[in-house]
Amino acid sequence: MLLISLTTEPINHEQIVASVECPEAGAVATFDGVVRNNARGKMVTHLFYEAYDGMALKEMESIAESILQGQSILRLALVHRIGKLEIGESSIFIAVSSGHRAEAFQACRTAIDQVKARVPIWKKEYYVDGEIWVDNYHQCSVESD
Amino acid sequence: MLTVRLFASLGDTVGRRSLTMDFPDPRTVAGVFEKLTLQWPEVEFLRSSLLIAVNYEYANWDTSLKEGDEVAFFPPVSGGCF
Repeated sequence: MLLISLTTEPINHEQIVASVECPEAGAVATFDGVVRNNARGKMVTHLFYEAYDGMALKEMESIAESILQGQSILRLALVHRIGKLEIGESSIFIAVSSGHRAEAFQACRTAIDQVKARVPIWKKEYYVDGEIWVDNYHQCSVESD
Repeated sequence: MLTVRLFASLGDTVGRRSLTMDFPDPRTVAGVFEKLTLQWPEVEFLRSSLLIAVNYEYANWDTSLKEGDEVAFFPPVSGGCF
């Protein structure tokens, strides 16, 4: 069972967690990606996420299906917010249920790593004195999770 | 006719995120980009870093195109630095 979506509305964490709960699950792991107030040594005022909607959903579904096939995962939910986001808001939320904790933790990690590598969604950072797309000129690789 | 989609810094550079185009010669992704550079020379310097998709599938410069295809060019995805 999968819940995959893009949304311009604030992410409803409780609803997403509820979507992966089931009687067979002994573990639910979640990952919440949150808008930080700083990047590259500058204060961030807000973010804007742009998606190639159709392809992004297709890639998200592909990631989720491969996780469900390869590991002992019961249910998975993957929701990415797009549009303007304020500091402290969630940009992505992942929830996974499994019989035991190890698979749920691992699946959460795989899902966020794959999303960052493959899903066509871009982030524009706004500062007090300007803005930049975080893409080929400004890779995030120097900043760790 | 083809649909061409542009995103993030590339979309900003061109000032559009979607356009339609007659078939280029050759009928490949590279041919489409050549036509873009004729109208927007400033995209040329982005070429080496761009990713390509045809009909929502990752593709490459040599991918050949058919009527109605949607070709997308975009910078490496950034998903966010969590």
